[in-house]
Amino acid sequence: MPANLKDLRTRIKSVKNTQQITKAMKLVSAAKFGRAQNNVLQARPYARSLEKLVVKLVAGARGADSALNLLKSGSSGRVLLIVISSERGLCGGYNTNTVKAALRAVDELVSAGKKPVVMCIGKKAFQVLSKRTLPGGVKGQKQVPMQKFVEAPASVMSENENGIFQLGMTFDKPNYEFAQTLATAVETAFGSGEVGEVHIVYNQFQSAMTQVPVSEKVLPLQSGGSEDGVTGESILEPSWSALAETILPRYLATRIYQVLLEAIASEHGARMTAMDNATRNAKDMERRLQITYQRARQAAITRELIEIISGAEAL
Amino acid sequence: MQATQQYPMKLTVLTPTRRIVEGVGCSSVHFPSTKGVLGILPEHADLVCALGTGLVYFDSNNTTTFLTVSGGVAKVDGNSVTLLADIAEDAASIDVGRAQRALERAREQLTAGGSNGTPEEVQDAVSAQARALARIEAATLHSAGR
Repeated sequence: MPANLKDLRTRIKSVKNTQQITKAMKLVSAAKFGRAQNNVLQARPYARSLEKLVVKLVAGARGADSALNLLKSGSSGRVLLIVISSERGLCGGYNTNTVKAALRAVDELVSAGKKPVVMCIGKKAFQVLSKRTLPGGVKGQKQVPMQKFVEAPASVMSENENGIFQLGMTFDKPNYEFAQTLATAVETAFGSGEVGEVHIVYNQFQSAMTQVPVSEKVLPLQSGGSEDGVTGESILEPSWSALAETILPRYLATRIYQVLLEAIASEHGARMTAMDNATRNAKDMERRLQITYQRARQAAITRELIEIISGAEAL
Repeated sequence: MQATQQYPMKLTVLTPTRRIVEGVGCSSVHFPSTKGVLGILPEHADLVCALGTGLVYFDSNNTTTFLTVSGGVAKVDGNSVTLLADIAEDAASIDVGRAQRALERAREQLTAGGSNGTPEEVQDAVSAQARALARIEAATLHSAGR
């Protein structure tokens, strides 16, 4: 710690400035977090109802139907792993945890004999992951434009065999249209047989303080859970397969939308918490510096007094 | 108790991004399926059907409320009716001027592009026209009801 008074003063000033910045960042994140949380809550009832409907529909499935393909694992051993991280840093362990979860998921897939293709949404995870090499794969440094992925998802998959690439887009405010586009592209890749499964790694939103990084399988669609309170047969209009064609793609888009919303809410929550901690640390440090400064100042005054008194005594 | 006997059905209208109507008691609901308008009264058999584009109206508190929906699924389960629509709009919040302009645009596209538009473009224009018509109808009925 600097001993002289001038250095201490500069130090205190700089800590104060940092504190102001982190405080402002916290406030901004808090506002964004509020909005993101509201979006998650608004979208939840739709997702829940649709999921119940899918469970009901799948339970009533009879025979093989092409719409059911979304529910069956593809024959390809390739697995698309979508990793959702943030575009910006300064959000505590958010991105580190995502990357760890992604690497764990990759390890699991590899040991299960699958070939993962990692697609990053948000640049932070890509910055870390691109320095790695997947087992038996190539070093990924590519950025695939969104346009290309949407138009030819299947060929993007085969070009990036065992690789890591980033989807060229800014992941900031997810909307339903984006989720739909992404869902359609993923569905096409799945339908073409280029990928056998699709997993997503993201931070599940629990509260502002806690985000849980998880890896979930989105395709083949899982109609998880048992159905409760199903009373007899429903009338299906116009037909089972037409309904499945309406509902299953929407279910996929909703799943992806929900994941994107939760990831964004988690990010802002994590940043808010991180910035709150930073502000508190800065406050502590400022206080400690202030005490050191006052002690040093008092010591200087005492020293000067002694000098004057002893000078006067000497006369 | 009187209210629940009078309005035994519960209507919920949801879109992927918003809750439009949530658990409102009503005595009848009409909504468009892909094959035409369906009217649902209490004790209807369980039903799952694809939603078309058009007008939704339901009776509640002695008034009729109008909405528009486009695409999605409807579910009737016991006495609860759930509409999971791609797009849904409350008649009170419809901008008639905008709907009118959208309608004109769609009609123009259909008359001009009927011959040289791709099938998808024509399909888009047709559904845009249907959406605009439904919105204008809903807004008109809403203001007439007041």
